[in-house]
Amino acid sequence: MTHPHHDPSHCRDLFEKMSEYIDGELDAKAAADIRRHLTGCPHCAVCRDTLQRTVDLCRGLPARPVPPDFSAKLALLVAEQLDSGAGGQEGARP
Amino acid sequence: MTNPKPERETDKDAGLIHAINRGEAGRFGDLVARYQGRLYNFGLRLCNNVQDAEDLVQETFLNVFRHLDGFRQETKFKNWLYRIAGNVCIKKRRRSKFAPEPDLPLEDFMPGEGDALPERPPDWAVQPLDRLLDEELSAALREKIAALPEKYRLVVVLRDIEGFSTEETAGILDISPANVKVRLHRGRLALREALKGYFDHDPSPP
Ligand SMILES: [Zn+2]
Repeated sequence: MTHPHHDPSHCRDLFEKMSEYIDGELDAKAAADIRRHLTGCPHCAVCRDTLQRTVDLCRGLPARPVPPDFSAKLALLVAEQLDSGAGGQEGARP
Repeated sequence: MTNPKPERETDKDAGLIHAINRGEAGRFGDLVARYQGRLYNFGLRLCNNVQDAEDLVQETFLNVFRHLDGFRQETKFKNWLYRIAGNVCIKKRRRSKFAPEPDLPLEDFMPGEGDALPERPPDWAVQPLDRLLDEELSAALREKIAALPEKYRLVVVLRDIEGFSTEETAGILDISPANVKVRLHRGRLALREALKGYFDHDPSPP
């Protein structure tokens, strides 16, 4: 399959900007150029789809609950710190 | 459950921080309760290891406890918290190994001249997301994220999992927004390659 008016160097430029494109961080003109290119270039469209899906999978990754014994340990740690009165009183700085 | 999208609102923690700094130290427990889940998952995603994630949460809260009175409201508390957590993570790694981490050049992800390029997206890019993202893929994805070189991993986790904006991520990591974009793109491309490998070798039918 050939694509008229298709310039492969355009594909390379687009490859660099694909994350900004899917994040909506390009200016209107750059985004419109890419949108136009994508309708005529199946290779770049596949690149966009797989990159978008990679992001979607990261966003969809389920969170895990905090183990209850660790949560209890944290609560104890806080209580100890409060008892020692260290909060905000020490002169140390990072 | 999905991860939050970038948010743009005022600091919902301001009241609580103010109360703690004005002497209600006991409410520090509320702060821990509010953020332990998110920090724990942040730790898991950075390290993919329960012990390391617990250490990260604990060290982060100890640092917050010591330095909360120095927190200035010009940044959101949550962003300040992640900045501390990110530093804990980076220091931890420096202690454990000294080998420099590899860069991911963009050229490595570009198709070569003679490569046959796909004309149609693979199944994994078009299947419904909830059917695709099963336990096995979640576990594989966690491993692949944890395997990214650190500077890319931090950016991918902050942007695509924790939902921070480019600007916020730049502030948390103390790098430029342009640098965030470069690292994010390469990190995503590396993850995409890893996912391609996973699906190419997955013998089980969908
Ligand atoms: Zn193209």
